[in-house]
Amino acid sequence: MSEENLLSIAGLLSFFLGTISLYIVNRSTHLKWNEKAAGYILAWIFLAKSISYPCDAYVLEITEGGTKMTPPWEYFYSLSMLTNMLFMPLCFLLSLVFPVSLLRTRRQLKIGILVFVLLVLHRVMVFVSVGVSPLELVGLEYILTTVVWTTNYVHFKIKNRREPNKGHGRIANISALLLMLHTGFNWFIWVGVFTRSDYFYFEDLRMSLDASGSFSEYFWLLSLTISICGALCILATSLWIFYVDGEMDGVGIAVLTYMLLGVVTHFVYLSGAGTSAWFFTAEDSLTSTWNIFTRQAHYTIGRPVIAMIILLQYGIYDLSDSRNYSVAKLQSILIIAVATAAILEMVQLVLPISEVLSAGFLGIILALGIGWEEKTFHGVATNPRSVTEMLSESEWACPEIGISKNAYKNFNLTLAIFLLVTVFLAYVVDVSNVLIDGGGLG
Amino acid sequence: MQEETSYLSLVFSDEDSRPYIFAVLAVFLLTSAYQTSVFYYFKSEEIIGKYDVPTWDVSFESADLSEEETQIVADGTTASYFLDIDDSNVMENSYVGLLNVVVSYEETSGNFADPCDFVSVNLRPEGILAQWDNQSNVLSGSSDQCTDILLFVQIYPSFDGSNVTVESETIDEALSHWSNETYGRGELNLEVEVNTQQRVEGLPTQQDTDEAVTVSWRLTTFMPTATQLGEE
Repeated sequence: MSEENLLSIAGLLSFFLGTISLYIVNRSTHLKWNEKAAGYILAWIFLAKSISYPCDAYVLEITEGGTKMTPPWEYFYSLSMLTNMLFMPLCFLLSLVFPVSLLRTRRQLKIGILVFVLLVLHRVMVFVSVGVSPLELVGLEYILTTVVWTTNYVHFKIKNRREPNKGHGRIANISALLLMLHTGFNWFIWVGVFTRSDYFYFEDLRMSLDASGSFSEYFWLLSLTISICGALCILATSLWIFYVDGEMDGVGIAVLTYMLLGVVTHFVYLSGAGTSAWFFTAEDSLTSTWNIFTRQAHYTIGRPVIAMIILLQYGIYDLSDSRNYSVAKLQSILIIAVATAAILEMVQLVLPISEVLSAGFLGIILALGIGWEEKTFHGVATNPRSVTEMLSESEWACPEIGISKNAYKNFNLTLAIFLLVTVFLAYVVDVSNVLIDGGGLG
Repeated sequence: MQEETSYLSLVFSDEDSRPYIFAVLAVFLLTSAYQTSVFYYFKSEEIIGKYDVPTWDVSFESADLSEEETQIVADGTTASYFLDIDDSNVMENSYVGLLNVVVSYEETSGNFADPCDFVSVNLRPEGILAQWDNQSNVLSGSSDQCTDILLFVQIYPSFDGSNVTVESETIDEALSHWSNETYGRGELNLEVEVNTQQRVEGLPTQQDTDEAVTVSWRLTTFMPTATQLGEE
């Protein structure tokens, strides 16, 4: 059991989630344009990650945690980077349309899509031509999504106090969940920002390819700092409402849990060795194990589960269609089954359980898990409440912007082609050796 | 109508939430300013040097262990001298570096005109882990002039007693090359052969039948310590 294994499992889960979501969203005809767009974007977010996670796992394995540049690390590392260049702008695009639409006119929508396209193309061109460079502005999307979703959260939570039972609290919660999905892995190291700890300020983003103290590193850490700030603001709002009204919902508790784990992480990292390791790795067994139980668990279990909740509970899936219903159920079962296997793998890491025994446990837990999952699925699926429905009588209701079916089709086709092209672009980066030689811009 | 409802106007039109949103934005700005000051000022040097590998000066505190043994070796025979090296004669945290052997003898018969005997020695390359193929080693020698025979064995690789400079992340890594206990532990066997000599055949005063040969073992052990260079 290692971080590589968990990342591979995360890749598998992301693939299931991405493909099945694409299928169901495509069949969901009742959706408003922003919900449909959000459904497709979420699907492509996970499809992009279904390529990048296994690549990261393989690079970790062959480079022994990013310490030995063993071929063909360049190819798989580039492929991971290139697919992340789609993932990050997609998250930004998602923040522009969901849960409330920032793009409220056709013109704004065009500008939003143009910014998305430019972000992707700019990054890809810089990466393929000069390798890692500060021009890429890696982390920019963390800043943008944090500002948007945190603002949404605070606005709708305050509004919910004044006008309860109008669904504002749920809109706030979707915003917090989406921020958690995108930047939650980073919330575990929040203490380090304020204690000036090495594990935060020495974090190596790209296998030591960036010069230490470079603008790339600064900007990346700035983006992480702002995402941490967003989480703290959400937590502070949640705690304040708890103090005033005596209520804290599940999302507030989840954010609080992440932040408390962050406090434990601080002491775990302080007890460990140095921390200038590559983003995905840890340097000794305690920090490595802790990473698996926090960051890697977020990638493997947290992200897919959050996405499932949003897709099912907030009406992006049209579950009135029996075919959609059964496919969504299958998707939930797959995610629960694979996530359970991942949890068992993690337990096996700290408890001396043999593989045969853990396989037995897996069987038992799966049987129980699937039964539990069916009940949960029924509960969520029979009471979905869409964002459109919640905001229908509010000034926040998503304005009508006629988007043809072909536009969605072209969007999907373009992203599929992009992912195929990344396979060849990664090869170009590999043979040109641009990552090692660099472009001299670092 | 669509032009009127921009996102910003919707967010900031709500008087209840507006101050909180401004507070959130202020927190973003303040924390970013703090992070920037840490990155470019308070922790700047540490961040720039985070990949620098520390340099260590490794020095050795040497100690010599001496042992001496004298045997009467009969003419035409070979005697074995043994040296046992184990934890009892090597101090804790010390390692075996070098071995010097001095084989000495005199003409002890006291007979008139009896010349020095011919003594040859051979240190068998076995019994301990050492650098047996090292060019500096002297594993055998002989004398017929009653002069000392000097032997030498390089036991620990690269050890000559002088300081070395290494680059490594930690002090343990810096000392890792110098902490192998397996070198030099075991038993050495030095074979000494004596052949008595006569200057002129038939003179009874020149004849003797054996010789006292003394072997002095000098084992150099060392205790390594590392000091980080450039650390104030």
